[in-house]
Amino acid sequence: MNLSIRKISAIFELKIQSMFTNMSIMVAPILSIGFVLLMKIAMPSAVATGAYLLGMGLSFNNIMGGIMMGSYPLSEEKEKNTLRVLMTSSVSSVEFIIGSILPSLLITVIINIVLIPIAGVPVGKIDWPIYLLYTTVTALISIIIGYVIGIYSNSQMQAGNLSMPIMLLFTLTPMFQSFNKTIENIMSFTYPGMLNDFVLHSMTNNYNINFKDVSVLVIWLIVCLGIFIYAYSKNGLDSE
Amino acid sequence: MNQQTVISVEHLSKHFKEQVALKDLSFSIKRGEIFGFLGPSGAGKTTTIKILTGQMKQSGGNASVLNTSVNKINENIYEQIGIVTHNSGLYDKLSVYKNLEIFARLLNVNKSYINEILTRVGLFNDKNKKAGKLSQGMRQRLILARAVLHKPKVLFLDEPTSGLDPSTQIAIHKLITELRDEGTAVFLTTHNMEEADKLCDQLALLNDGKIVETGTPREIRLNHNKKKRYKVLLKNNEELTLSQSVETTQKINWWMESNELVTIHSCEPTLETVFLEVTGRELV
Ligand SMILES: Nc1ncnc2c1ncn2[C@@H]1O[C@H](COP(=O)(O)OP(=O)(O)OP(=O)(O)O)[C@@H](O)[C@H]1O
Ligand SMILES: [Mg+2]
Repeated sequence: MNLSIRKISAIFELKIQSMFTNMSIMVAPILSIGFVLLMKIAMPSAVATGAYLLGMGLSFNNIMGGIMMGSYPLSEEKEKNTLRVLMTSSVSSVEFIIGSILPSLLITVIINIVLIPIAGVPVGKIDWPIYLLYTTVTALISIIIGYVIGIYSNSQMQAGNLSMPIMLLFTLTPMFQSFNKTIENIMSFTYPGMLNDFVLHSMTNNYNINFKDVSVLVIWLIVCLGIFIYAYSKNGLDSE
Repeated sequence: MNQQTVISVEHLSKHFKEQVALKDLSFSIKRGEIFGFLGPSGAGKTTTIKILTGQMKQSGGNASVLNTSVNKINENIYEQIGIVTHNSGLYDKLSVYKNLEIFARLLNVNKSYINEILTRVGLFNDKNKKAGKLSQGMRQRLILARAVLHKPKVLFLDEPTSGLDPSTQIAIHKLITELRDEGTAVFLTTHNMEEADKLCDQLALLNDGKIVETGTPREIRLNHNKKKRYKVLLKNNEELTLSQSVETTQKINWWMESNELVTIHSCEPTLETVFLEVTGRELV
């Protein structure tokens, strides 16, 4: 396979421009910051601890945002009949995917970092390598899930309808896990639950990178990638 | 294969489940030639374009574009091909100029050429407008500009002027002829017989997935001109249609000498009547 850096960077630029002209894609990152600020002001600091706020912000930005950033732009390209034009203008699917994942990932990672001071977590408390690794991998998993949704949607509306249940499940369940041991156990095997646990634990005691958490991440990444490759090989990006 | 031949189609066929869409098509297109592919709705024009541009697999037969078999088309061939179909989309939220800039980068076209092509399609003054704000005719011209930005060797146009006003149609015709003169091979589908007659060097009439007639527009018209007839208008306002005969020749001669003749037209069939004759149906 021959990847062209020129074509990938053209797609990259296109996607950056589209992001700033299509606010629906930026809703989740903006919402995550807004929500954290609101909770910080509205809730007593005993409940809305830095860890709690950061966990919530990450779950909005990284999980919900990631899924939206994967699914919306792809389905928009299909709805507006531009994906087919790109593909018949010598862009390969892989170039398209790389060129459009990178800007989404970039924005998500930036917001993940910005959320730390906004949530009021001291920057020194963050174990940066692990934090960046975990948040980036979880963002990537979300974006891949978004792409699978995008493959099966032909319009942004459809992408929204398909994403909604998954996003709600992944973003809301961690909020209930403190009330129920079973939910907590199950959640610790999901990537959003694992991310939330990591944030909570790394603020209270020293978090040590461990086999279970890394396995959860790796397995989710591999499984989602597998589903994506399956969906792609059956339908292409543009199922007709 | 002739060096000048850029598209060659041999015994091409396509079926969707039981439905036969294309039956045993064979034709070839040379460089610097506008090839008109005419046919009523559902005849298989778009299907043929999709197969030739590698967006759909044929069921049988062979076709090659720029010496590449359509079965082996990969994205590289699109650097030499331009395509306009009814579902060629634009980035509505980006400006006219930006829409072309993306493709200039993708196809490695010098940016200075963007303004030149915008001028050629008459959109230079609208270059900062959002594509979503363009009228239908302006959109179509932008789509066309994008398709020819990289000076493709082959241009596929699927009904490029349908639904457009006459002046936009003429502007598009002009661009197509200019490209032809620069050596581009143009594969043009249309319902519009007048357009085909005026624009195309070669025609194929397609009906129900089969080519029922080929040739230059004139050849096709004259082949079907079995009974030569002339329509005359005389000074006394009398209008007559006369068949070719010695008597007719003498009459016309006499009217001309005595200056009785106001107008005279030969009644060879138009492409439209030929089409109706060979297909037995109206164009939709
Ligand atoms: N993807 C598809 N699946 C099933 N049938 C199809 C498909 N695409 C086209 N057809 C059928 O093939 C036939 C030819 O369609 P095509 O779109 O090529 O016609 P056309 O000549 O372009 O018509 P129009 O002038 O209306 O655009 C039609 O009967 C159509 O229903
Ligand atoms: Mg068609």
